[in-house]
Amino acid sequence: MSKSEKKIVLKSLDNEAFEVEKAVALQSQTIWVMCEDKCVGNEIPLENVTGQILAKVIDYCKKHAVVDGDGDESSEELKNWDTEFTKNMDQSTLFNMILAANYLNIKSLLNLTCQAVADKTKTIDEFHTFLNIENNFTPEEEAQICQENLWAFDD
Amino acid sequence: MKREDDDEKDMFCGSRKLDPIPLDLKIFSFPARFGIKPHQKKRKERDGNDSEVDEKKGTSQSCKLPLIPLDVEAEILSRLPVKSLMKFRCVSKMWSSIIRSQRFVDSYYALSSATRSRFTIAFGNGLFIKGDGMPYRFISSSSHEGEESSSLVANLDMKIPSVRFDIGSNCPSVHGFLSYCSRHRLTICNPSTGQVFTFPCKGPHTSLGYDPVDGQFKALTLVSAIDDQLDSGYLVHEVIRLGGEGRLSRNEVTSPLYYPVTSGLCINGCLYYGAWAPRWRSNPVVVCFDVRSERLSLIKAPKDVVVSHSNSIFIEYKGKLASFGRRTWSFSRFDLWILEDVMTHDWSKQTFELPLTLVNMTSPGTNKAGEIIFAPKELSCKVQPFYIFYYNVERKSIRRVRIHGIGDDQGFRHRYGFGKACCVSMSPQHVESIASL
Repeated sequence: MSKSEKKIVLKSLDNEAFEVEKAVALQSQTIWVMCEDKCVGNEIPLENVTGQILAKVIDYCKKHAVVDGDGDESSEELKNWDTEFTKNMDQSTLFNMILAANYLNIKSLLNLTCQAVADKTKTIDEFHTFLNIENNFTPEEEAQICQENLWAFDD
Repeated sequence: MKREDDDEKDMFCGSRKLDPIPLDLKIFSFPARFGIKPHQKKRKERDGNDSEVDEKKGTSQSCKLPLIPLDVEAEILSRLPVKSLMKFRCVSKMWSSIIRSQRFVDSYYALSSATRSRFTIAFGNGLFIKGDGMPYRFISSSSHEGEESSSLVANLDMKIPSVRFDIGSNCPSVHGFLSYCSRHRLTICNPSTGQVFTFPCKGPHTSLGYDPVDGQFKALTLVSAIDDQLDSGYLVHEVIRLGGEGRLSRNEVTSPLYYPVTSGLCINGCLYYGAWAPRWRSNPVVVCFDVRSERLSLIKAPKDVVVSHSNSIFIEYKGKLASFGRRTWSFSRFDLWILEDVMTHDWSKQTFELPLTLVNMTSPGTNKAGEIIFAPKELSCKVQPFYIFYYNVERKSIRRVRIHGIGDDQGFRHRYGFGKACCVSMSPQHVESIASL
């Protein structure tokens, strides 16, 4: 295989191009399928992901591509790296990462980012705000649900 | 939360019956992971104009953030602790119905089982409760997390009003629910949701089983009085099917004669307990109740497998039924009899040497990593630390872990009138479930 075939170019929504190893990019099932089907050339346009987010996704994939080859001994290190990776992300980045992981179909990254949101979001209001969900309960309905789960509210 | 005790009728308490909300399961299936989904289109539009203010919310905060697809929302939800999940049912109608759907309940259980390893400890406030204290059964739980840590904190999940003298019975965990039998009543509870469900049984010997194929809970009661068994030549049992929302249906099954010795242990769709057949102190057997087919069979066992009620310990070991052989009050070695084949009644024996001597301990089973756990049989009448031991079979090492929060607080003991020593029952592999019965 020639050098150029080992590399692949990912192009973000805002036209930022990233050249990465194929092994790194193929952790994305979406990219894998695109490559299998030969429906794209060496440059893959990812119209749902911004350059800023794509850079982070590639960081994650690079880390995991390397370590997965080494076997189990570094799984602890990898776990710590994952924790650090999401620790300081703000909610907006985190949600964009979830969307990207979902769109690119990278299961482990989706698991990691969903867990991070579950860990960081503590109150109902936070969920309303961050997930942009409208509370469509009437006050009576809401009161009844709360009543049914009173035990959950006594912190 | 208000809980009541009612001896007359089957009942729910702790959690009220809910009207089923029809859920369009299509909300979970977004088969196309390609192309732009409607919400993503929306995001693109928004990204194009960051300063645009979301008209509905009127905040710039929400306008910066994209909308998450529903299947991903369900992913996030399944990673929340149960308590938060019950709270977040108030977030929206969609969330409420997602959380109550069977599909979500199942996926939550699967994730709990794979990633949230827990144990429960059930204990009472003793045989002789001081002052005006009411008899309670307390259920605490903790995660096994931090394999190397030397102390864990157990949180009190439930306190269930109980019957005086209601001590000593096991409180095994079966598919997210704990159950214990006392005085012809079986009490089933879910420490994660707080639901308590209790119903009368026709005999004092009842155990809960779960059929993983049909997702069905069933309780098995020995109806025949053990004294008059020899006249009839067979034993009558009642199988109680728990139909959801408090419905019960009952069925009768018979078996050859036996005398039950231990309480039941459910492993992978079969309920096992030690017995002698056909009568007291005769041949040791293991009664096997196939929860799905509702068939009872007797499995021949070596003599040391069934010793006596207090001295026979059945555990799940690597997915199989195992029994500790005869031990003395203090022991530094033990035999483990493993039922290798249910059909051929084939048992194997392994002998283990402990690096230290354990005194008056029992084993509730193993943790997920396969370490054999040893725990005290009783809670001391004095305030003192509560320790459990993990024995690593491969490394032949043992570690001691202090469990905080098991009646080791003077204020807690005083409040509930803790009297003399009482029994403790640990269930080593409890899986958090949001199901209700």
